[in-house]
Amino acid sequence: MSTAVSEAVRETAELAADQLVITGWTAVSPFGVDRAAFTAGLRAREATAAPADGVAGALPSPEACLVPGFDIRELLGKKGTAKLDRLSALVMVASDQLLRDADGERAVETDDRTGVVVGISMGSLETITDGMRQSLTNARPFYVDAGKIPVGTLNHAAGAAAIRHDLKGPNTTLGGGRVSGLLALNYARKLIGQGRATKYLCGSAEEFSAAHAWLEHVSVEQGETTPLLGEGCGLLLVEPAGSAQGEPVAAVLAVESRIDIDDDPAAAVTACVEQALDRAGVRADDVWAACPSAAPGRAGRAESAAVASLVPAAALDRVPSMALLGDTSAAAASLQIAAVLAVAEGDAESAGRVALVTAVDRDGAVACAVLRLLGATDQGGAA
Amino acid sequence: MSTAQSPAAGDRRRVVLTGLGAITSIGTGLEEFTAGLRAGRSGAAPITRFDTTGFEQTYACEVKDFDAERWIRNVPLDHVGQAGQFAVAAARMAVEDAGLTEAELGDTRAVISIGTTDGESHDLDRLVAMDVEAGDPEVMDPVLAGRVNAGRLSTAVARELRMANVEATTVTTACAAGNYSIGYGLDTIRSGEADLAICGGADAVCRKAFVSFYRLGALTSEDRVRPFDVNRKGILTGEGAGMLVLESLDSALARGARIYAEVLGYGLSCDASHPTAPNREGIARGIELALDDAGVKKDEVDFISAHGTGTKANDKTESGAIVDVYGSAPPRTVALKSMLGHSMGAASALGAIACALSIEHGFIPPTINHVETDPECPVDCVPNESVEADVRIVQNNSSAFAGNNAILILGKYGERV
Repeated sequence: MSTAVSEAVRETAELAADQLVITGWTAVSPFGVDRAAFTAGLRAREATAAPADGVAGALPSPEACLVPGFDIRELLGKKGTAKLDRLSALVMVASDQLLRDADGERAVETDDRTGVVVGISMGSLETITDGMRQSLTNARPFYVDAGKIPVGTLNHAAGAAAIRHDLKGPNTTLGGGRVSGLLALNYARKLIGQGRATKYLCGSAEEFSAAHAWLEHVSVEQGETTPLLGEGCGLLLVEPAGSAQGEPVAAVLAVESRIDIDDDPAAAVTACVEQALDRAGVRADDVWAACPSAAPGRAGRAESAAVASLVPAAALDRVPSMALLGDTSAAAASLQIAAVLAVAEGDAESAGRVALVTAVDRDGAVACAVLRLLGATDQGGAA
Repeated sequence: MSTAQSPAAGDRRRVVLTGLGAITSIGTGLEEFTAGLRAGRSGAAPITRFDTTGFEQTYACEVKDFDAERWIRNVPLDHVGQAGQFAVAAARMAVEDAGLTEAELGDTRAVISIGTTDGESHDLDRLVAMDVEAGDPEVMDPVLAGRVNAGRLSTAVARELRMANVEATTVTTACAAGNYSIGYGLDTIRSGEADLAICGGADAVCRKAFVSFYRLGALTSEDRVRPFDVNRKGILTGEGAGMLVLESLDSALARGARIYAEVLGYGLSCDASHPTAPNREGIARGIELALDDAGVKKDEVDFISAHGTGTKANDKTESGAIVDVYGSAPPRTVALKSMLGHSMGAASALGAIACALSIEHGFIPPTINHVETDPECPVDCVPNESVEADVRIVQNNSSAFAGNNAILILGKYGERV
């Protein structure tokens, strides 16, 4: 390790035993199927929009930000994947990457107190609406694909990850759209704090499909354009510092959320961030990197403006805009955290610094997290 | 199971129930719901929500007398679908029952957590039907399309109650989601991060759920549900909402609130074995975790409100798990789904409310439609008639597809110091 991280080492040593830390992360994203591709694409600030040629069904607009090369059978094997939905597959692939090493061997200890929490919007909309369509168009209204029914359950992805890796602790799915990754992080934080789990796989995911694209297209606010949609899954491994088995890459200082009840998203974001900074015991001027959701539309613009008015200008440019990935909906907040961690690992200056991640959802929720970066670098970072 | 990392029970903040709101197929409002539970009413009736042409089974347990405008004042009625209207109305009912005004709620730090299985899938059903009929997805109704995400169930409650300083989370852990939501409120208040949580579950009868259970062979062919009966044939789908106001004991005492019951603890377990089949070991582990968290001894439990769906597999597996934990003479074990059908994400929230009401009013609700107990379900299910009883501690079970179990323990306030 270089001398630049000595401060971070000191920070790590000072972590309280019950301080929640992130000890692993991965991202399945439009930059690529794994963490290395995510880091490379992010740092190169690559655009990911491309013709969505392989997607089943007509689309309202030709382009999307899809995870390239996401072949479910190739990534997860043929067994048990014939009926699998893309959403569950994204979560399962991410969980493989988080828990296994390059040789496919278990790299993280898990037991019946390892929890899973996954944030979503409305599950696999493709699976759900395909079943509804079959019921309306097939010869009998109950001629629907029985093998797809469990997959169309909103909590299937979290359960499938648990089955794949034998994770018997609390297993929860949270619906919250763009803020769901932060709701999931707060959920894991609280349940670990109450002793219900010793560590958590914690993240959020969204699949791209024609069904999702059309719902977004027809409901777009007046004066706005149809959003460029993305997909992906960000997944973190979180545990208390005192019992952490992996090297901590960041400490979770605060997670806060609020509801915009007055159709004033900027005010809600400002209040939420101020509350989180206060709880974290840091000042807005201390924020080294800020990563808003870059959600399309009015709420996303208000969010960016609110964050920009709070934190130092330099903090706004450190993490490339999430607009590169399109609107990744429920995956957004977890991919934002992944982006902050990817940037930090490439910059020794990040050690000991504060990062802010914010998100807004069209249903009115706002949320943010304040992290302290602990100086894990590409050379010395946790797997 | 060790809970060595939990804060010791004696050091924890105590959490009580001070308000309840119930919208059910056997009655809306606490008075009607209580009367329905006591009398053993059935909510089953021919389905009105969607066209049942082509199905041999046409029954469900729908809410019959719902007047959204009576309860929903601040959010436009079309801001949410049927499930959201149930959730918002039940939340309004619960805070009024708790004696909390909008002015008092104001900027109070709180959690709003609502469980659901299908969210606004009835709207999705309608949207797909529009697309199929026109052969063009452009015709889908933008209002419906804009409100289908599950997150709106809980944010709409925050908007209705004018509560901005809340964490609103919708738990989509299918048919165990109600207990999950109550547990999250409990953990939040125990942690000291808030004094108030508005928790529960909501779902609406929809074609999607009906078709799914029909196709899986889990739907009964009869007009009634017979949990634990040797001739049980499956579930009826149901709907409604149950919302509960959880409050720190200190807060409840300070404002002189009525206390229905104390939330003693809960347990979550994941089977990690099968996407749909219930798992005896997983359910038993969930029960043990809940008893441990609550600090309750097995012989203290007065009755169990079972998940009790009325399918062959569930009732046998769940009874087995109960016997595994409690031995051959377990507490009386009743299935509210005999009356309410399977109200999905609302089910365990309504179960928790029924448990609180049983403590408050001193009776155990029955398992109706019962003729002959299945020897593979060796429990006293309180057949057909409710019984008067001094109820002190109750266990409320729930399980979901994907192998998720959530067990809640409630107790009479003042019984345990």
